[in-house]
Amino acid sequence: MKDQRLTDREVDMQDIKISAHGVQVFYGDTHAIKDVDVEIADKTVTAFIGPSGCGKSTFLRCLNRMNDTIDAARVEGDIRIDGEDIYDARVDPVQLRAKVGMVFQKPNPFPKSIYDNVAYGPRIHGLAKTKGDLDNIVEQALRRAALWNEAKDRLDKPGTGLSGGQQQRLCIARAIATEPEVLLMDEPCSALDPIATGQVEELIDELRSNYSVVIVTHSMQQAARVSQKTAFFHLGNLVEYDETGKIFTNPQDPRTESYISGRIG
Amino acid sequence: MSGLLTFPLALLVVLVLCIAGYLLGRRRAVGRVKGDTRALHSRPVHHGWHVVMATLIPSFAVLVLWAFLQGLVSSVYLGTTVADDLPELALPESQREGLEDEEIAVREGARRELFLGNVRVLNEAIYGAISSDVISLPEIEAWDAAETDVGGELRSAGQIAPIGVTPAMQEAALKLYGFERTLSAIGPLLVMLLAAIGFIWALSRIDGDFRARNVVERWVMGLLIFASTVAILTTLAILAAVTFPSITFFREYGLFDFLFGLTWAPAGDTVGVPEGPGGEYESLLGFLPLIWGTLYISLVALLVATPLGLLAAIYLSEFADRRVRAWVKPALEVLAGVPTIVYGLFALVTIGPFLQAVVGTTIMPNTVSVMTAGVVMGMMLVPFVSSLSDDVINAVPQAMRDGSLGLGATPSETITKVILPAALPGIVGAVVLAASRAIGETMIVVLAAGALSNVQGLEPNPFGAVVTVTTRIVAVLTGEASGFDSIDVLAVFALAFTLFFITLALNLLAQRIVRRYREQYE
Repeated sequence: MKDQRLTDREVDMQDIKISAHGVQVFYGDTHAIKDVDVEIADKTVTAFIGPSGCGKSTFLRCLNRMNDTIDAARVEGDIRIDGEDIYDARVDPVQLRAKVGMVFQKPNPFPKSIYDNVAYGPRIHGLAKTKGDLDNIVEQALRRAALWNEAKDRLDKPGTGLSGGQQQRLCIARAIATEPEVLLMDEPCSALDPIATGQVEELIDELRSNYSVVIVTHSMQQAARVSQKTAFFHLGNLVEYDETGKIFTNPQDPRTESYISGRIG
Repeated sequence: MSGLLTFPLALLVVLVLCIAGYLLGRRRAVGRVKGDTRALHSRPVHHGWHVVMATLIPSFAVLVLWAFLQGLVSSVYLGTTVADDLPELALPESQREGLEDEEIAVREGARRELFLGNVRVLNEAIYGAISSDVISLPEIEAWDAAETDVGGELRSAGQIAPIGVTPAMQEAALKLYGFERTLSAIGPLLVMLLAAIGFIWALSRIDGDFRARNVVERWVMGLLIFASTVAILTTLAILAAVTFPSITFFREYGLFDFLFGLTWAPAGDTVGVPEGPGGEYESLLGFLPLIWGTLYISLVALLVATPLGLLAAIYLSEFADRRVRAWVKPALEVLAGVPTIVYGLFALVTIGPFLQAVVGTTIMPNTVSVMTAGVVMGMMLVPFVSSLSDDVINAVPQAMRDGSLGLGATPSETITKVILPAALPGIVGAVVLAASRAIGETMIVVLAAGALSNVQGLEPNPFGAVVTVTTRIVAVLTGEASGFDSIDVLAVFALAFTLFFITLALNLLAQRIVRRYREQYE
């Protein structure tokens, strides 16, 4: 939020939430991710930046095994969340995804009411014992997604009837209602106007207090505004990964510098 | 033979003119601007097509009109050549006694009609005999009907000719023959002349500034409009063809008695001549038992087709990998291509006896029944439901699946809680369309539902035989049925009319549902 204090932004070095080692992803014959090592801290916003097709979204989708739904995709390497290998045969991707929530590039509310959209996750995971509990969860999620005031009088109206920015905040509310430990966001603001983008960014900053947030973005300003750590991807390689302030003011790799200054990408 | 050749010859000439016109038109257009085609308003091709159109359209229009009007014109001609005071048209004195003038006029009118009819048949016979080169025209002209048996001569020449041909008949027939020969000689001539005029006129108009493209494009648009209206006009024509007899029927029999009658028992009454003792029709033509049979079978068919088709669609769109899909989908579509008569045979020889063996003859006295027809019709509708449902399920955006899976939902939760609700309107549309096919289905029910000619009341037993609307239409129109003066035949039109509206309503409903569904994502 505070661009002017980029360099001295405080980074609480928390426990490592996600650690990835030697990750390779293949789409058929295409080698999309090449030997990526990264450690993502808890209660931190980590931004993945890089030009289109650099593999940042693909890597993000490895973290909750969404690549499993693509037939041609093959993931190698070691990804651990809280020390547990998520690609282990004993791990069920369904359980993993309940722990690692995801918000997509395009708002994708279900064609259901606003209430049912938010209650979807809690219902399938049995998080609420009573109707009152569920109402409470829905209200909390909508409040934290800064949508409660706009939505409280129309909870039974279809979620698809909201504006683009509201829809994206609804999708965020839907994701946090499931109480994940990690929230993955794949270019969550690319379909939004600047005002809605601002609201979502504020929200991301608040979410940091509870979650480890990983955000893929095309906007370097956005990465600078919301993240504490930034990873720069280029052609499937993780080129540089450091504190956001450092990446934007004093990049070590010439490719990072070229990208930051607008010469490539 | 020469008479046969002229219209094909005219067509040939028109065709040659068209080809020549196209080539010449193009060349002339280029020539007018000395080879610099950019100076032309329209492309050379347009000029070519313009000549083709000017040659073809008027001449072809006349050709079609001629074919339609020839018969009409010659019958008007015949009416005017035969004098009203021809002695043999008058009613003989012996038959005039005790008759009113009006009655005499009616009878003389009938005699005249008979005379004209004989002349027409004779004319056909003369035409047939001459064109098959058996007898020449001078030979026929030389016959004197007072002495020669003209009809007999023509019959021995292999023609159908009336008995007792009089000199007046012979004279009228020969006149008609001559007139028709002239007509069919003028027709082709006129066609060729118009083609030639159009050809020359269009060629003469070609110039650098001439807007041939606009003319051609306007005609092409006309052609497109024509093509799109033909189907609509056909529907209207079908509607008109069943509506008018139906209205006559409703007026004659009573709309209420038809719609709510519980008995279907045609007795062959003539329209307007009720034969019952109280002046009512003996035929009982109640719609209810028939629509009951139709809806009962359709219901069974849908109960079979909807779950099977839907589950197949879910498997195909959500679980089947590409290789399985490449096999199963075409295989299902082959099922959709099986002619319904084959399904009917299958029902009759396989499913019917099987069901009977399972439930026993006390419940199921015949192999034909609601279940026999319904189950097989359901099979027929499975690919229909599955193919349409597969399409709508595939149309649910991938983002919905991702969203649900991303929240930790299982694939089955994703399908039942997100995808099916989202696709539901489309699926309902598919089922409604299937229902309208089931209601209109004919061959399966003709073979497998039962063929009683009389039914009373509504058969509740699903293993009992029923009669459907379509089977009755088939039976009355192909059976021993009398002509269009029978009330039973008129009733069939009313059946078709009602069926048309039920399926029309269902199709409109399905379209509305499907359209509402589309608006949601696009």
